Amino acid sequence: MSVWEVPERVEPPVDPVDELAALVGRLEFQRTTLLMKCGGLAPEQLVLRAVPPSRLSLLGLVRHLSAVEAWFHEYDGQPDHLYFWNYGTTTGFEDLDPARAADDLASYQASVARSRAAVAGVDLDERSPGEDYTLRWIYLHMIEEYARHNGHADLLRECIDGVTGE
Amino acid sequence: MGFRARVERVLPGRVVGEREALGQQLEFQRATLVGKLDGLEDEALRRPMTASGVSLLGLVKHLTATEHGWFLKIYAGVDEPELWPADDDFRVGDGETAEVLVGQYLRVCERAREVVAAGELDDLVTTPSGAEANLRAILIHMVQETARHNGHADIIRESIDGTTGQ
Repeated sequence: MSVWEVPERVEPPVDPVDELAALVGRLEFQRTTLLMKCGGLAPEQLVLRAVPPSRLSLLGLVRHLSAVEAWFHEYDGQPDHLYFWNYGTTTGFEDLDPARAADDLASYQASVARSRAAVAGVDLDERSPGEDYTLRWIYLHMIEEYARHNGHADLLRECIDGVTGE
Repeated sequence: MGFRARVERVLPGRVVGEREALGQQLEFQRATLVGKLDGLEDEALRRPMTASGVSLLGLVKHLTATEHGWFLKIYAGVDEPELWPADDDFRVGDGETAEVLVGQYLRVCERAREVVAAGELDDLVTTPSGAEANLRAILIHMVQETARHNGHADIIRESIDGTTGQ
């Protein structure tokens, strides 16, 4: 099995006058950080529950965040994608299979692509269809959600091969 | 008995403007950090738990230095020395109990809250690296920084007594 690629990460702007640019830049930074934490590892390492008693693994985090991205999918008016929702809180972290890691990554990337398309051009004050959250709230929530899970990824990675930082 | 957090954790408003959204999300992360300590004895709070020896109180100390550095020294230009030598802020000394360190964290957060309230999101300041950063970017950075360390706190806390969530 080949190792996952290490993506290039773009630093968000430090002087954004535009609220949307600030939020998008920081969220993309966090998305890329998650894949950097997985980069250079083989599927057999990505499924390791490396910080017991926690059930978390790097591949579990990627699967979980595929589902969490559905916050954005709401805006495109299309049905929920059951494949992403199958990765929800419990199942995302269970039933991990190194042989399916590449498929899980492809699903994650498809989920992110759908998110980007769903909210392109949407005003930050616009409410999520069906629920009383603004897009602003969702962006900030997704930034903290990713950052917190990247904190989990930090300690998983440190226990897998000693790599820290980024 | 153990440590008592005594900090109310309020979910960020779902339909608020930019400034409130940023401030409330940062408050939520700060309260999450303190809440992660709730109920633990001093010995558990200072126990090095990760491969690199980080403890829950070490996280509090580090984030105190981060709040002080970004909001008070860099943004407000307060002429004070750094609270601890750089790279030393994860290390917890014998006299640094939870009451001492959390008390200091909450006082620094209160001072940070005051300077943020008096400022504008477009205010530009020069960072130690020479870049021009605005308050908007600093607030978003502090949300992701605190959230990421809360991810570390999640894993550490679960290792100590199995508690997860919040």
